[in-house]
Amino acid sequence: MALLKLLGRRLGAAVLLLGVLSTLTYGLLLASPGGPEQVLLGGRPSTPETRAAIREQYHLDDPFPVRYARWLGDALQGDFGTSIYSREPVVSVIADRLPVTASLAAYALALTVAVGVPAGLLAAMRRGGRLDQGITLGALAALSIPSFALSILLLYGFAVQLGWFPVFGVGDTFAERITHLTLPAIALAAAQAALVVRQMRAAALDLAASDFLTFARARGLPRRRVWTSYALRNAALPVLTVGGLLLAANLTGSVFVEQAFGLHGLGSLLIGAVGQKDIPVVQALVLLGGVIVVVVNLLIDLAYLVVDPRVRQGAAS
Amino acid sequence: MRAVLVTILGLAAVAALTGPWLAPYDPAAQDLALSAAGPSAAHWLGTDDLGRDVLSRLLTGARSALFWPVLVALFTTVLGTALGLVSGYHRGWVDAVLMRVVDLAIAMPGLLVLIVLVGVLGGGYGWAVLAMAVLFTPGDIRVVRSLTLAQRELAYAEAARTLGLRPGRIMFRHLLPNLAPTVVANALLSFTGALVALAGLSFLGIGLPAGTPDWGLMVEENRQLLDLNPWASIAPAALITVVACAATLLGDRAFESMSKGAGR
Amino acid sequence: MKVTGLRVSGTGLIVDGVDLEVSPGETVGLVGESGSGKSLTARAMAGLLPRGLRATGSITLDGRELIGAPERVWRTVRGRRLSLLMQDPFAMLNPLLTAGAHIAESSRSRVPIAERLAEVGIDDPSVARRHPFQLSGGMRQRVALAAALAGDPELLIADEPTTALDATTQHEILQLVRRVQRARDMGVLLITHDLRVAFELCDRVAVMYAGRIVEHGPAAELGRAAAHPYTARLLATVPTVERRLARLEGIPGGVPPAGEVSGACAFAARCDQAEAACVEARPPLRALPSGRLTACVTQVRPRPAPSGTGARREAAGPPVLRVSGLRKAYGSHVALGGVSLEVRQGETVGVVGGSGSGKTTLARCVLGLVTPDSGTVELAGDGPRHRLVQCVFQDPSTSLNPAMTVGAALAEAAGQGAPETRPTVAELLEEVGLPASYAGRRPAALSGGERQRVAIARALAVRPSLLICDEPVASLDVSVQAHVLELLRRIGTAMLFITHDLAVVRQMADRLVVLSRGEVVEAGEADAVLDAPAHDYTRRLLRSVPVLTDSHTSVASASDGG
Repeated sequence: MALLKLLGRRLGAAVLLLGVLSTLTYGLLLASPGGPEQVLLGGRPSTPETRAAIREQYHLDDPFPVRYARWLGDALQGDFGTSIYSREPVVSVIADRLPVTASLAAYALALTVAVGVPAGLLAAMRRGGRLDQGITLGALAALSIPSFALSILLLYGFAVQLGWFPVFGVGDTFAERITHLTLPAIALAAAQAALVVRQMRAAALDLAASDFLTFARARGLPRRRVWTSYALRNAALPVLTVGGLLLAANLTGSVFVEQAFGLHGLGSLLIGAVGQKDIPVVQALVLLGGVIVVVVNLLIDLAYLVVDPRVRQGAAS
Repeated sequence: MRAVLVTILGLAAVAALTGPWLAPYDPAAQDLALSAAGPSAAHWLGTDDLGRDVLSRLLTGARSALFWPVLVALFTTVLGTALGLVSGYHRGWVDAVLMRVVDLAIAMPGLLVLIVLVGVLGGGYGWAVLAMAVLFTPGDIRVVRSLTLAQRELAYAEAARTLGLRPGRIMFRHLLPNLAPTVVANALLSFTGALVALAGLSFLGIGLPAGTPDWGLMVEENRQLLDLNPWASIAPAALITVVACAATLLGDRAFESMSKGAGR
Repeated sequence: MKVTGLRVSGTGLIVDGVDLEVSPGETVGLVGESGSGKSLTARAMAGLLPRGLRATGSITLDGRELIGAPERVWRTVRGRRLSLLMQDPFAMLNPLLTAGAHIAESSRSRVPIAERLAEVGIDDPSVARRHPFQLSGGMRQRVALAAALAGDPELLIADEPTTALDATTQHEILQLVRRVQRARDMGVLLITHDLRVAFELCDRVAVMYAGRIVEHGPAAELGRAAAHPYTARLLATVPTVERRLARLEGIPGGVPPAGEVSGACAFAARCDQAEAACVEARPPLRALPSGRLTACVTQVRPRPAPSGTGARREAAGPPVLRVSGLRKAYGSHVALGGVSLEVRQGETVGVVGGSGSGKTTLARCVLGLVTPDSGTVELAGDGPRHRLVQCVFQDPSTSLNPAMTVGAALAEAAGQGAPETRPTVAELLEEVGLPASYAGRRPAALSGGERQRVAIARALAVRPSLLICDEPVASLDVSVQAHVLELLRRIGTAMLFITHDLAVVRQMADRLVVLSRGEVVEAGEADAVLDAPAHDYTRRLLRSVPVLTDSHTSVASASDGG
């Protein structure tokens, strides 16, 4: 019951966010230079007749709320219209590009967890030592390096100079794909891993200083018990909180990384569509980004509910 | 360490102020005979595909690369600190409304919105800077507000209220000095964020006409020359990285001094 | 367990050569003020020193050396042979585990959890299913004790197990520890800052100062007459609940870092009996008759006992504060349920109660920091409220703005008062016994006691007709407490003195109001109320105060509390 109330509140916030985002993106069409007809014509020569036909076809003479509602209704049913550039349904354009971006994101996430968690723990265990200073400094640097700059540096170092990795493309077989996506995934993962390292280190230090961990050891609990039900569970909470930040880094980072490595994913699709004023595609991509943000944040909330009894209680009161 | 960081940022500031005069060549002067040449005595960082001097273009680009982020940082820090202080100190319905807006703004995929807005609407740096200021301020508000909430419950703040001091005086004379390290850290973070985001927009070819001497744009335009004159692309990328890292590290130090100071 | 020559050092020396022995069935008290190294001694004995600290010397358990032993060995010792109970019940339990899980995970035998809970006085088995955040402080400390005992250890090290708790709960937990100790015939090492607690509970007491033990002996003997000047002075500073003393005496100065005094008597600088020999070499612990040890080269000169009882002031003046029917609720929690009281010119009214009694809410209502739901607060005199009433807050670590110098803070405060009575910063500092040069200092450069003096000066700067003191000495060491209390006594401004500590209020208050759950349960002349309490709650509070009798001639009578 209390759980439902909390979820209801979160869902309300999610709907609000998507509402604002969709209004904003739909408004784009109207605000774009040349007006909606020009955009929908896609730069082809126009006569008054074709303009009138366009206005008719897209109901441009209806009042804004009506048009917005119609567009949103279609969007909810998965119909984002046709791409002005490729003349294909927006949904299939996106479906074409999705696999590259999804595998890049998954690869980067795997790297983030595989590197970030142990590095953060290691830094905390060697607190104040050389290794800790190195890791902390490296994480800060990784956090502030723009992903496109990192992409170029990686490309130059490992692809052009050393020739270990291919410069462009995604490859065909699974193995090729891995090698092609390694540099982009590193470029994308750097900032995220840095976030995890910092959070993990701070959480581990807090834990090490916590009375309850000392008390657990004072009772002679086995090492495994101390690690699993004390250290890891309690450290998971603060690390979870950066989940949203991770996601933001991932979403925007992939735009830059795909551009830098010439990968044909959703990021480069967005840049292309923005450049060509392919508004239907832009609208769909922005909404997709919004939906991903909302869904991931909901998942994080749920994870909190599972891990932390205080949150469950808080949800009840 | 701190001295090194301040020196880096100082040098960057000097370049931003005097760059165009320091540049050995006209940043737009083309020399097609010297297309994509490597470093030489005449061209320390070589030339790009149109034979333009990379060093001159870097120095000329320093101003726009650094000036706008400073502006964004000033705007967001001043507004974010003021709103955060007032919101956290007075609480009540203003705070409740403001926090709803802030939550919404923070949940937005900010840079994505920025790319789309500036990309579709055009308008160069002006729009981008404005949009960025709006996008970054909520984060500052939230941080300052949560610290203000904690500080206002401390005995010294209660004592100030008991003494009948005006709210403005309590907020700005008593609370603000204790938040100063965070405010400095916020400003530096906003600066880094804006620097990286603006350079990123140019890198994506958004906001600036092709050929402008701009660091982000140079990274993108000279990306194809990595095997001929890598410096044309790597030097601007490295510059952005170094300045961004220096500002972040300095901000981190400011933040650490705050958390140490809080430990009584 | 036997400890010999234990030294703990980090960046500096912290514990300097401690010898201690605890046998099964006996309770040993380790007493000291903050900075004495008592807690680190306890941690070292459990092999749980914080990072960066190192222990040398010898710790043996049944003849087995534990210093330098690998973690593997320590793990077999902890829980089964010895267990450590810590101070803060709010931080000691894993917030994600239930009470039952804490006990179950530490248990080495098949004793049902309900039985373990019953041993620590929890009869409600449903507690086992609750999470720490759903339990009160006292309940948490009981659960922690049950968890600490679940491995059936032979030695329990209890590090200030009751300091974070309410007076009445404190008493209950201490009685519980004693009961369990007797039932199990277990050894207990009790670390405490409170001599009264140590005397009440322990068979032997060791007094620590600046990282070393300065005196050691049977509790009864030590209580009868101190054999070290530090112990003597410390005993003299402990406020007594029995009668009002004419003068409260603290110990001037502060505890030096152990590393700076390792070649001398650590107390020499603050000792009025110090001789040349005291600083030439470190006095060893020497044996006295009846099993006592002292690290003092001379015999302790008896100090003139503070004579007679302090005179009460006759409060005939007009009222400066009249509170009537004050109510305040936070949601469903009633903080104040209709409180009325009066403070007259020149008198000190004590407000006593445990946590949740509403005493702090009362203070905040009078100060105008909280708006009451109903009822009135009348302050005599004209002018804005801030010129009529001021407050000294509890926590010296946050009571001053760290970003402002003492002088700036005092000048600002004085500026809020009426222009005709405006004191200078130097005058204010003099009033609270601080040198004028302190005006240039920042709070970080002051000790806790000094900060509290500055906070008092700041409150007096507007020349208020009423001063509210909200637990002004609760966070200070006893030797510093006395100084601050004596200063407050000499001020002469009407005071509303809020405290949980009956001994402190006996020293300070002319009249007394006892609050419980937002209601006044008893009020009257302080001596009358404390000598013959009428309400059950007051009697409970009084019973929970550990007692040092007047001339420390014997141990408190409450030794049969189990």
